[in-house]
Amino acid sequence: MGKFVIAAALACLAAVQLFAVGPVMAQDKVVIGFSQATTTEPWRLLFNAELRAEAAKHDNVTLVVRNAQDSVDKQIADVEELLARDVDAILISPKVAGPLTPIVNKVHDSGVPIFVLDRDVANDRYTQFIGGDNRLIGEAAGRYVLDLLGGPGKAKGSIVEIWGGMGSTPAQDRHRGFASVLESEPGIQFIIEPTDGDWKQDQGYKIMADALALGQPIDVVYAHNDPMAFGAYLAASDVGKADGIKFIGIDGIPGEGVRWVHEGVLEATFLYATPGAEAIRQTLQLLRGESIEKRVTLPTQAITRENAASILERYGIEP
Amino acid sequence: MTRTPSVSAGSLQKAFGLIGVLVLGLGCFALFEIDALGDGVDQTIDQAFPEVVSALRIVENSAQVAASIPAVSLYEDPEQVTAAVSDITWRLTTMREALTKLSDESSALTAQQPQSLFADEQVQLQSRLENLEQATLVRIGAAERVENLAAQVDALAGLVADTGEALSFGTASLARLRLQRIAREVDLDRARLSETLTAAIESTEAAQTLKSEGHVMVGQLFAVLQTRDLQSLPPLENGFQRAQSAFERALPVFFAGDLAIRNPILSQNVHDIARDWAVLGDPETGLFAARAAELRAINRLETLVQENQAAAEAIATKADAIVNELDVAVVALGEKLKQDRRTAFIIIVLLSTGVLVIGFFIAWKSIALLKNREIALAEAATDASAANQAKSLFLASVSHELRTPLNAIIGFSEVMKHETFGPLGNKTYSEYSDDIYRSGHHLLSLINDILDISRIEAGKMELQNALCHPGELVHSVIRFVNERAQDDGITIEIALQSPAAQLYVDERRVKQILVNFLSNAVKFTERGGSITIAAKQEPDGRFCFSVKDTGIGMSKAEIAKALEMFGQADSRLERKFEGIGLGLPLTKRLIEQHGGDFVLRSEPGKGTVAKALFPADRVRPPGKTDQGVQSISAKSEQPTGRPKHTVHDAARRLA
Repeated sequence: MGKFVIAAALACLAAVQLFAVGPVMAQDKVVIGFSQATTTEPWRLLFNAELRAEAAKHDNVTLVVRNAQDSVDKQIADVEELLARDVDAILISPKVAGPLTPIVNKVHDSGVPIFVLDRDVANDRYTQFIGGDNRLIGEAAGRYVLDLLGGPGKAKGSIVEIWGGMGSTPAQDRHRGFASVLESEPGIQFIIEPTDGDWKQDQGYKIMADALALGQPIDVVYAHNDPMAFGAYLAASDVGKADGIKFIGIDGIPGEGVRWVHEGVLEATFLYATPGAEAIRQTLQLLRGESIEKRVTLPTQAITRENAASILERYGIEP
Repeated sequence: MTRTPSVSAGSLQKAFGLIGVLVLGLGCFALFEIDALGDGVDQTIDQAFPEVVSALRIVENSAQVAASIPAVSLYEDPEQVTAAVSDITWRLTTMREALTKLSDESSALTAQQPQSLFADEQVQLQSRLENLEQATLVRIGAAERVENLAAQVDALAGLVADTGEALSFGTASLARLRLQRIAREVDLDRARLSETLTAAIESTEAAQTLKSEGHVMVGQLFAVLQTRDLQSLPPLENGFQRAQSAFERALPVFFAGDLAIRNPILSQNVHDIARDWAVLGDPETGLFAARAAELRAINRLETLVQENQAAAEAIATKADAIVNELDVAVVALGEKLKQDRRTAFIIIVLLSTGVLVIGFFIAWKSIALLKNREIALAEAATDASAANQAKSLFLASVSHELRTPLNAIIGFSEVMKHETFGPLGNKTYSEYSDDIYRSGHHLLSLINDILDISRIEAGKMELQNALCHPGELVHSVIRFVNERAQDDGITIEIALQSPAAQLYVDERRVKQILVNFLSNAVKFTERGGSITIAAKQEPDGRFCFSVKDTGIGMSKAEIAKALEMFGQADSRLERKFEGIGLGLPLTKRLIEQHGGDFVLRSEPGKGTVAKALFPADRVRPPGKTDQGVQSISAKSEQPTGRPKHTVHDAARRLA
């Protein structure tokens, strides 16, 4: 009897404490500022959409989104404005590393939590970095291609690699990860010099068309993003050579790459998840007073014909 | 010879009575005046204060109402509005009650009827207040709707910005791709080139339209949120509708194009934007309608606030006027009170002064009369004393003159009684001569007594003090009455103290005292009775001679009578026993002449005790010589050897 009473009392106490912490947070108004570098690419639109969707789950969260429209100066100004608005936390997806590092550091020094998303800055004077690991994604793509061409040691085939921006770290990492798996394979050969596709599908089309013009057989096209892979597919398709070639992309946007995989245009794509939803979750966790990691690496996922349909279904996109 | 005092106790009483009546009258008048003042104060408190308080309440409430009205229109929460309005209503009610009270007082303070004065304004204000509340609630409702729509506009602006950029990029990207593809076609089909280029241009145009009209519409919506001018809304709405129809015209082209198919998120965004435009641009429920409603409510409120405030201020002004009027009235009341107080004060002071003067006059008169009476009494006393002295002198000289012939009478009658020169012959002569002799003696002793008393009263009695033995005195005086006692069959007992103290007294006078005591005792003691004479020192040091008999005794009245001069003259004693009654008064005076006390105790039928108490300073121890006589009156000597026992002499039976 006595033990039961004590247990009940403890349970009540625990319940009270639980509710004491939860609602306080739920009632406090939270303003989160977000500086997006650009929304030109579909991935950026998805990024914004996922970030907004996650924020919309919390009634007490107000989101202030600023679009730098591909301008470093505007992005610096946007962050300054968010800082002046006395928001509770600032999220930034920087257009480039160097020029935006000082403003990120400035926010961090002022005591406002700042989360760096997708692209890192030059130092780690920020609250948290959230992003995918492009090298790992490149490695995953490399292993997939290795298996596709016969497996380690036995693999045999020619590959066209279409680079994103050659000066950008994601493109370099996607290349390094991919190459680290395949360059030691004697049966594998890259048939063109590294060529900058600038992430654009028409460039992907052009590079692929040029590669086809060489007249060599091509087994695999590895593009640093899905639109370039799709451009390459169109180039091959336009000359009637698409059927024998496996097109591999990166990003895995549902309405884009996933659908292309599902339609059989692409062999596979590797998820480069947007940090939008995770950034909101991490920010709220910090504002609740809980501790968070310095770096959060978003996992990748191979999207093939096996799982593409279910992903599209999950996102409510008609196949 | 003596004046009759002209002031009697009655007139004094009358004088003091008169003073009392005057003081009482004055007190009553003062009380009356104070009461009248109190009435004035009561009137002020009962009448003026409530009125002033009511008026102040009206002023306070009207000021509060005037101040609260603009605040009502500014609240954002309907509950606050309702609370503020009910507070104002309460104040109006309080004000109305105060007005009713003020009107009901029907006092002399306010000439006007305040309630009727305010009636119109009150009614107007009340109804205006209801309008104000309604209008404020309408404004709050409209503001809430506008606020919700404003949040939507904000979100939409972000979406438009994102989408516009993506549209430009997407169409450009697609156009480039198409050009790449056309450029690489081996056998160029002109028609297809034209179609491709047209499609590219059309979708670019559509995207451009969506982007630019989107920005235009966002701009119009923000302008709607910013403006406070109702008139500027229609042009803004026109601009919005124009942009919206352009946007909507571009939509089918966009959705039919490759970009919409290639980029579902972008497509969804455009779709969302189109939907939001429709919501925000709705003529009934859209932002324009809501903002117009809000601005209309604000405008109406401004008007209402001005009207209400004007009404409240009008009331406040009138209330102020009433307070001012009351103020003047109260000041006048206060002045009247002050005047009344001053008048009462002067009257009381004058009356007090009058009563004081009259009182002093009466007292002065009374004192003067009393003084006269005192003088008259003193004169009468002096006259009486002089008369007494004259009488004593007269008696002394007359008695002396009487004694000479009396001696002759006594002497010759004695000669005749003893028949010295031969027998008288007839026995009757012998009896007559005996009567003459005894009567002469009696007369002589009477004259001696009168002489003594006269001497004492004239202050001419001088005591021949000397030491003597009380025992001897007792024995010597018994001889005077012994014979008579024996004749009457009365026993005389003697009780003496041993060793007896000595006395420093006039021996002859003491003997006279004791003879008187004994004569009286024998005289008033019936046959077979007894007399006891005692001499002893009292415990208090005084020396006492006492004579106690078993005679007829006296009542208290008789004792008093016996001590008066000639007191025996008309008493039963005189009739029964001889004597003219000079004995006891003389005895008393002789004892007092020695500084002693005379005590006479008697009860009818139970005998009498007469005591002569001599002061202790006249007592000397036994055997003491005549030394120290000079200090007799200087200090009171206590007897040194007091007898331990009182030893009675061997009672000598004399009978």
